[in-house]
Amino acid sequence: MRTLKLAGIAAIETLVNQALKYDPVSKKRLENLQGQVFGFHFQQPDLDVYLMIETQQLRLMGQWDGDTQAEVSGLMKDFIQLASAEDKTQALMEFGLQVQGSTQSLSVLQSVMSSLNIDWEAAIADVTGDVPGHLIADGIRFLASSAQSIIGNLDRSSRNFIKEESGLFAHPVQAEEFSKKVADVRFQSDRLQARINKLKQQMEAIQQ
Amino acid sequence: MSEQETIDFGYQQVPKSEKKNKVAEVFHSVANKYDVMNDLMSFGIHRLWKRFTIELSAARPGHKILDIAGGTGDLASAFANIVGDQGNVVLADINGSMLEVGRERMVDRGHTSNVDYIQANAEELPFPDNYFNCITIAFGLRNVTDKQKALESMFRVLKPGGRLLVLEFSKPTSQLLSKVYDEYSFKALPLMGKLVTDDADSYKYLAESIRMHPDQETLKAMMQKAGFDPVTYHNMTGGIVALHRGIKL
Repeated sequence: MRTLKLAGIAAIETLVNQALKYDPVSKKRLENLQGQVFGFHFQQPDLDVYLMIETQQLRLMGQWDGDTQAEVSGLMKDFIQLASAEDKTQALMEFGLQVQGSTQSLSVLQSVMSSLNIDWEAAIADVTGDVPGHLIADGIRFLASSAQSIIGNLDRSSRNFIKEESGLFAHPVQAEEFSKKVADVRFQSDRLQARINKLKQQMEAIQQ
Repeated sequence: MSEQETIDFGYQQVPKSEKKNKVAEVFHSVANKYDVMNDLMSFGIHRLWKRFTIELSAARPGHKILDIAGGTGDLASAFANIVGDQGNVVLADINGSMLEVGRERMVDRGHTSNVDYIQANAEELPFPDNYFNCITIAFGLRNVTDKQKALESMFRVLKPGGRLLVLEFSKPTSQLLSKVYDEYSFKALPLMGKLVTDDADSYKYLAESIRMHPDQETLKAMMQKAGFDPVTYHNMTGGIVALHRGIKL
């Protein structure tokens, strides 16, 4: 079990360090935290991970005997929500994560990790060479832009179809007019009912 | 020749004075392919065992670390990253060929300013008393002629509060795993050694030396006898490898 955990942590560490390799700005910012260790204690499932900032890379560890700069603990799902939240500081308070130690250092770390801007073209070029790397990156950019445009068009077309063509949804003005008519009918039927009741009472009085 | 003057070299008994040279021959022979063979033999898991050693080291920037029997510098390289420019890592090995390969690997990894290299015998470490924050010896103790003397030497050069980490092959905790492991060690390892380094004997020695090495509890007692207190150990991969940690109070 320990070996598996070590393997998982090693794989994540490799990914993070590879990402940092292609974002020199973030790597430079991390130098301010050099030598600091941060602890993350996940619950459900239970997992402890320590992050050490080294000179040229990050090191992830499953356990750590020394001091830490800051430690964060909480449910795994809350950590995931925190990762996807726009305002991390607000989210940190909202999701019930517990923080001990220097929140300032943690905030710097959080800011660096959330503003990672990876140079994917350089990463591809490292594998394929400069010219093929540039061509592949251009192709990926073209595909991504086309896909974005297609998704945008599809979104607009489907909204128009639902509103205009299918007739499934009424225009707000039409809906308001219809609602007003329904209210009028209800008002008139209430008055009619009241008149009927009044007539009934008059007839009963005459019969007596 | 009396029993006291001989010592195990794998399953053989050799005069104590000869073990050092015989071990040296083994490592001279395999030095260049040492990394490849380690990855092949352990399926790469030795890297995870070493990771765990680093986790338990509590090494920090500015620390002085001694990596005995440092081989090709896997641990020393990680420590050099951790201790930074204010710290110092000493890569020590009794074997000149291994030390040479280790130095080349360290330079290739970009470590130049905070690493020193020294050819030294673990039994007589040439350092002042109370000098290092942490000492590691990974897959090296079983090759040392007088293990108790080496542990005592490590205790001497360690600072109070410092820790010794001994990563070494040990005794599997399950009978079934033990049988599979025996088959693998005595049949597959020499064959791999023959194919990769053209030296089956060295890897036969490896398998034998592992069997002759003290088990978890015996090594713990040896470390306690040397003065370490407390001593704890962690079995890894079913006890095939154990990491012993001793603190010098």
